[in-house]
Amino acid sequence: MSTPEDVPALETVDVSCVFQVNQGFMRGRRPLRAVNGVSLRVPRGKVVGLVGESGCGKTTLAQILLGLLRPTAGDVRYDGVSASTFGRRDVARRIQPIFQDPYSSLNPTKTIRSIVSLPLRIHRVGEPSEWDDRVMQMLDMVGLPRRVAGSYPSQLSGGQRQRVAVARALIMRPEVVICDEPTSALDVSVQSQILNLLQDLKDELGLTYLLISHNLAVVEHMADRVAVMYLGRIVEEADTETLFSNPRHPYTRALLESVLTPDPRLGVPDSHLGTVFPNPIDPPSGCTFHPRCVDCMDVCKASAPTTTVEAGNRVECHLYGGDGKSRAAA
Amino acid sequence: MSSTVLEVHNLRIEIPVAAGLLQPVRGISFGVDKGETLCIVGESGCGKSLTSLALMGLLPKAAVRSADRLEFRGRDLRGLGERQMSDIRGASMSMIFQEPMTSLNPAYTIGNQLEEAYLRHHRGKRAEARDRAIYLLEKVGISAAASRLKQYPHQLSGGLRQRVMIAMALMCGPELIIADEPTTALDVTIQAQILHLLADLQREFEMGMILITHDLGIVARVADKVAVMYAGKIVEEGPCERVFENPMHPYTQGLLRCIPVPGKTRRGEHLGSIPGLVPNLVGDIRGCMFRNRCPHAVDACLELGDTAVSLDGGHAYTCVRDVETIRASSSEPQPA
Amino acid sequence: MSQPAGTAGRLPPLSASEILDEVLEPSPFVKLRRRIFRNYSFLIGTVIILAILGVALAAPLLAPHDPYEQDLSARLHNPFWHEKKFDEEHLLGTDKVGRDYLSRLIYGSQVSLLIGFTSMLISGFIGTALGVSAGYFGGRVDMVVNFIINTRLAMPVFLVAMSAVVVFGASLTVVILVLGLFLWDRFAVVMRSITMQARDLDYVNAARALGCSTPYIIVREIFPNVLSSLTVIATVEMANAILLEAALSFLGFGVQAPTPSWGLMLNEAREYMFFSPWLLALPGACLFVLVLAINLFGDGLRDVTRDQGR
Repeated sequence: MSTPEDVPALETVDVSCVFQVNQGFMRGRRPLRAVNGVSLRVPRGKVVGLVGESGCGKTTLAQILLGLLRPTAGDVRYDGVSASTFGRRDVARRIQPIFQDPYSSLNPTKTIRSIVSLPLRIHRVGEPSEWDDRVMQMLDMVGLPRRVAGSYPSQLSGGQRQRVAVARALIMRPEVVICDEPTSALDVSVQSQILNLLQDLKDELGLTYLLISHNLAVVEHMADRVAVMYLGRIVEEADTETLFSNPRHPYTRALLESVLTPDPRLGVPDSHLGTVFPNPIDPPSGCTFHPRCVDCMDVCKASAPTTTVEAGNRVECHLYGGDGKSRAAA
Repeated sequence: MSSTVLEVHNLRIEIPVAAGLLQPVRGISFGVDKGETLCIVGESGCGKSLTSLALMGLLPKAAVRSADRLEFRGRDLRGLGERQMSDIRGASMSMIFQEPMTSLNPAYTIGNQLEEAYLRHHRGKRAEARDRAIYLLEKVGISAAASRLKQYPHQLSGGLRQRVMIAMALMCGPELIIADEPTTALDVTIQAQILHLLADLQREFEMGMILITHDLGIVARVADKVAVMYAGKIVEEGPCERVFENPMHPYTQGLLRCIPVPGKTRRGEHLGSIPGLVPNLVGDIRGCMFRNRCPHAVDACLELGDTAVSLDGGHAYTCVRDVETIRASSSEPQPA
Repeated sequence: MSQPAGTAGRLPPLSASEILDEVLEPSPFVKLRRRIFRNYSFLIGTVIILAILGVALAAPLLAPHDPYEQDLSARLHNPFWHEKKFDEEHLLGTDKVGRDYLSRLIYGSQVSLLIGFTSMLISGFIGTALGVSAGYFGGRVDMVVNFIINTRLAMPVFLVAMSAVVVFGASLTVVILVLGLFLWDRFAVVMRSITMQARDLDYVNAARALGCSTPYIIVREIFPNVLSSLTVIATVEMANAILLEAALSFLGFGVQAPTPSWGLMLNEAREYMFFSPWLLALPGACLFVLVLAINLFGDGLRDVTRDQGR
């Protein structure tokens, strides 16, 4: 058996999720592979960043991990144990989400006290008399004054609402928190406050994060490892330093080039990606990235690349590993 | 030189609300030259979007605009009626909005909308308009432009729609483009492409451009001139490089410290932050608007808050604190 | 620029640099109260409805006579604005069999409100249950509910109501049941679309991720947010039910004589339209005022509760 440290807090093994999409009247249904064979390990106490364009399947993957969506194939494991052995509530105790939009993630008809204590009430944790104390502790922890407990979400600013969302997610002390674009709906100055808060809470409570974002600067700042997703597959996964200093997949490189750092001398980069994001119902042949790839070879159009692992970092591209070259030569 | 496209002096916007007089824009001045990009940067509620609407004459009915000077190519815009304003709008001054889906009419084809934009201001043949539409669609990087004309907005992806919006804004060869958060709704890769395209087109057609955004990264890469807005006022302005390399106003400094930069901010370390909230913009506010959130605030900020300081090269900011003191105290919390 | 000291101090004092957390906005209930007192149609509607409700509840105390008591010697007495054939006993005159018209009008409000309210409750329950489940579950449930809604919409309420009365006999209960079982379509359609929007909001996802059960989510998370729209439709449907009852009674398929119903009174007054027009005008005016008040109330309620939450 492996040591507990080796068992990731969260792991997906070859998870796929296929939706049947209506094509319109009398035209039948076609499969849409939103998540297509994703294997991802989120080690305990680490932050794993998941980046990709909208429509790449990040959010679907998050819903699968939260147990809100059942994968059509593959296995999700919490602490090495298959999700199928857990009930909904057990999953909820281990893993909690923080959503992007703090305006829609809090029920407008409930007070902050009621929103933050909802997990306690649902899971019947402790005595009802203790609930209020725990809510207050949680508000202290996320840096909200206790008097907001009686307020409604509409009375708070965006940053304060996101703090409430964090408090709700953490009051059950889950092991893993899935942060789905936690700061992209917030102002710059508030974004940094929330990122700092997430960092502090992680250190304090020993949390594990899966940070889903399209903002690579944020991911670089927070994550230990980064996975890059494209059309339902993880095309590259590496530790943050390696990925940012030596991106290997052409898509990762394009993404990194598109990051606009506040450096006035650099001008606007041209990422050389074509204009069209492919239709996920009708993905391109071979490597799904080939129509937008600057390094596209013949083999890319013909066959899908396999994963090459090197020092724990993996990439899925014909440029690397033996298979592409050998086939191209043949 | 008469290359100035737009000249704004002491622009104010006032909206009567139940609690009093809301003043989201409190006397701002700026100018845009031909071929120049001015970026107005600020957080939500600072008045940057209302400013753009005020320039276009598209403010909501309740809002009252006033200015000491508001000149577009030497023509005073202040007294113009709705008819005259709509002649200017779209013809020599056009706007690109944040959400392309809501600004394109879903019931008409792309071609129809592009041609209409042209024919409204030019008495010409439809074929002429069509040729220009195809020319511009190719210019904004849309392949098979002629066949795209028959498509409807919902058939295009977000990035393509924004390109169509840009093409539409260019249909009449405007001299000023106002782009309000043109890439906020788009993915990073598409964002870079669109900004690249805008910069190219602007250079080629020598247009003035006002780009409104909250993203300092975009500002740094695109702007010639920067105006940092806070609570309805411009707190710092100047050439892009000077503002970014030598930010003087505590708010600008704070903003720049808030954003993570790969390679500069270290992982696991705290980012800078600006505590507090934007003040309520109803009624008059005495002194510096930023003083309740400012780490360098002193009593004098209450009395002399609006003191403008001009540095060489058009770099100016409004702060009463001594340059050296601020720089000394602000360099401390920054990671080396 | 110098301002009077009173208006200048809107910014917090300098020392409080840690004021991350000013609660600036008043609570939603305070705002709601403010809007209520600025909305005249809501206020007027509420006052009239409460007045009519008060009259209905206190009918035995207010009515000067028994509404069923006939007095053939005092037939068709004129109301007080006429000089002749008016006696102080009957302020609003008497009908063709000498019943006190004022008393009948007062008792008639009971019938109208009772029918309007109970059939609204029944139809509201059916429509909300169907609409919310269709909106929340979607897919097949939605398809089935849509089919039921379409089936219901294809049936002419009036004809079905009349045939039901023919089959089961006319009575108050039958009228209430028929109206209640037929007027739920708007509830279902509106609730379905609102629930669909609410279902995709993140707070519902958050509740699901917490392991809340589906009934809990529907009842505790979604329902409070659709409540205001529900009340607005409820008022419209109540007004609708009251008018339908009057129409059915007028045609003789609703409440049966001698029950004092405004619609039935209209029916009985038909033949005297030209000689004693007030026999028609008075119950008509009552109906008009009640339905107007309910609609004012509903309209005002919609304005008052609009953009609540954000």
